[in-house]
Amino acid sequence: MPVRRGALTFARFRLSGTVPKDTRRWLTKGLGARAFEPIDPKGDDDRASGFVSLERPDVAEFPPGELFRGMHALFAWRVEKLRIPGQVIRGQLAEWAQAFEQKNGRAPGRREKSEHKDSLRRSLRAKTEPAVKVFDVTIDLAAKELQIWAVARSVVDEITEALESSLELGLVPCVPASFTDADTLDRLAPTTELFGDELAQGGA
Amino acid sequence: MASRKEAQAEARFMKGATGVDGAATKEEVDPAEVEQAKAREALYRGRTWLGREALTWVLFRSNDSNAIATLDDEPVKVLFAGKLTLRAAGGDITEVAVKGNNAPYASLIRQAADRGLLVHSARLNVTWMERVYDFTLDAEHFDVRSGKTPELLGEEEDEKLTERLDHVATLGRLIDAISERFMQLRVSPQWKKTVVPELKAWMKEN
Repeated sequence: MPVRRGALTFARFRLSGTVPKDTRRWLTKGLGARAFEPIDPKGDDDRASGFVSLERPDVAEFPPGELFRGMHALFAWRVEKLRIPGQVIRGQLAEWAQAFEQKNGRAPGRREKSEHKDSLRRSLRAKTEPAVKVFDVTIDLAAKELQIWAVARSVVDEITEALESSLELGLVPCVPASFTDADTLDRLAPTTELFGDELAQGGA
Repeated sequence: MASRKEAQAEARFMKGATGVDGAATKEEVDPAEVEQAKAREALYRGRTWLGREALTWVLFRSNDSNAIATLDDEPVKVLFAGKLTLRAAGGDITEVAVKGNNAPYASLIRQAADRGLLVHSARLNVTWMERVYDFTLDAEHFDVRSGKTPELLGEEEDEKLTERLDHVATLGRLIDAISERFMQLRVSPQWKKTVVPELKAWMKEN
């Protein structure tokens, strides 16, 4: 669901709070603070995520020439997942256990198996390419509106959380409820005439 | 020697599956109750009920050719086209999905709405000035799905992107104009006094 082509699929949010006058510096700094860092093959993390350039999704830099298009800011959220299939580890572990037994005249102990499994996982991590997904993000600076070009709610929530913290502003979903104040909203309840007896029975 | 049955009962007790009275320690979960709880949770999550009321009102208002809202003093007209999903807060039927170009305007849909199944997601066709947008909207998040813009006129990639961004902005403003109009009515005394009776009368039409 990229911004450049195909069907339009996006979640909408309104920017709440003051957008600094120096928009260029504010966005560059904010995105840089949560810039994408790839998975460390020697580490334990299986997932990495962060902001990247829309034009070059393998680069976590935001030069103004790439970031801005008129009154729009365009960037992306990159997610990498490293997954080593359990079947591969089990297969290689079984081969090693067989070789161990032939060499030592006994089956490997639980601890020896566990240690070898860890070293196998580490060596496979270094050889495995992570699965990559990139989700476009656009900000209409004139309308103070943000679009996240993703379907999965978990991804949308992750991106909004990262943006709220790195850009230090709130993001309000563009739903009907956003067109009234909080006090009025608190006084509203579902219309029982429309939802029927089920609502009344549930004691909502 | 204890019988096989007694041994099995003792084993169940030792595992913690039964108590000293022999009754199960965990209550059996009724799938129907789980379904009802899920339907209710989905209704209240993020005030989805307000979105369902809004989409149902839009369906009602789209029956005639009058504008539903205005944007920059120009009328905004809406037509429902194709797939429509209705959801209820409980009951025997918690979801109904229909397909067919005129399906949203079938009497079956009004009958279902009259029984508490309100519009949860719909394919909309919104016309404003010379522009027509087709997209799917859901009651919970009001996310745009599978949207189609009017034909792009630019030839270069950059021109096309600028045009697409312009359409995205317009589409957002159109959805906001409809939402705002709905909320103006929803928080006014007119909602209960006039709009709800009109909605119920429409639902009961044959």
